[in-house]
Amino acid sequence: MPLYNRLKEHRARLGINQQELGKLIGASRQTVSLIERGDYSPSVTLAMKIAKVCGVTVEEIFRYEEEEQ
Amino acid sequence: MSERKEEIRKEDKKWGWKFGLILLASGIGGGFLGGGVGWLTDWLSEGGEGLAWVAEVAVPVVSAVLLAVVVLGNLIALPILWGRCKKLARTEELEDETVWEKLDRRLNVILAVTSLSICVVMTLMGVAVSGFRSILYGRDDLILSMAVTFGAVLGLFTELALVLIFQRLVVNFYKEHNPEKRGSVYQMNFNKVWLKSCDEAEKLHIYRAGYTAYRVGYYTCLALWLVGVLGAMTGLLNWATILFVGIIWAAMQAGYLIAAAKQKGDGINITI
Repeated sequence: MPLYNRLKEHRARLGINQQELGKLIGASRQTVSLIERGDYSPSVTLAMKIAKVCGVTVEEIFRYEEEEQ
Repeated sequence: MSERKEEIRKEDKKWGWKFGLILLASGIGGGFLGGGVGWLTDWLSEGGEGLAWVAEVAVPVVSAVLLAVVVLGNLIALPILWGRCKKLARTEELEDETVWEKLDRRLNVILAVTSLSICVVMTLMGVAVSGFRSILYGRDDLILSMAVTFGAVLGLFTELALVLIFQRLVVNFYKEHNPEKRGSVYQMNFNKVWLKSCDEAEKLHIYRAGYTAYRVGYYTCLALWLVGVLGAMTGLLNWATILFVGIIWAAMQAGYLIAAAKQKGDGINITI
């Protein structure tokens, strides 16, 4: 999956667990876990909510890199 | 545009001959099966009383026994599975994300076991009670007939209670740790209420699983239709089997097409 993220780092910086982050962004703990593992790419809306909660821009959390052919 | 048309033509050509081979193989296989039907019909008519005994007595009795095994198995296994989940869910350990992943898997096992078991038990119960009249009137055996029927009904109610109890435990556990979740297992429209309270990733997961279930159901109906037709030709089954399979198949197709046609909400509007 070409979408990489640093969500776990930012969450650790905030000092909250997955469940608490989930409550803040309106998602479940399982979804936060999936995003951190790279198994799920959030929608634009959810990505922006995450960025707002973390106090950074979306690009500082998520990075899109094309896979090499 | 002409390049795209050429790509489409090449793709059709690539798969078209394979489709033709499958049609040919199906035709040859169907020919053998059709020829075999005559042989099978003769064999079954020679089987006579023995086969009738199997169908009218043995199958219902075996179904009742299997039903008892499944229900007893669940009576033992489900409390053990839940106990292991509770042990893992001690609050201080839930800060560890790997513990949560293990816990999710165990809870999903309980949901899978209860969901599958109820289908199996209802099927076995139906087959068992189908022997009520044939055992009673055909074999003149009231005790066996009553035992099989009563046991099957008791087994069904026991399984229903088990499913309700353990699914409620799992759902309420998820609700305790995910406050946004809504719905009670006692609600008739629980699935709808629960789905509405799921986030985007969970909804996508459910939709994908639903589509896979639809495809599995589609091919299962196709296989059962074939079995129904062969069974009707040999006299083993009657037209009702084919009709019921057809109804389920059509309902699945119609449900899918209607849902696809009127997708709304979240700004999505898919038409076909």
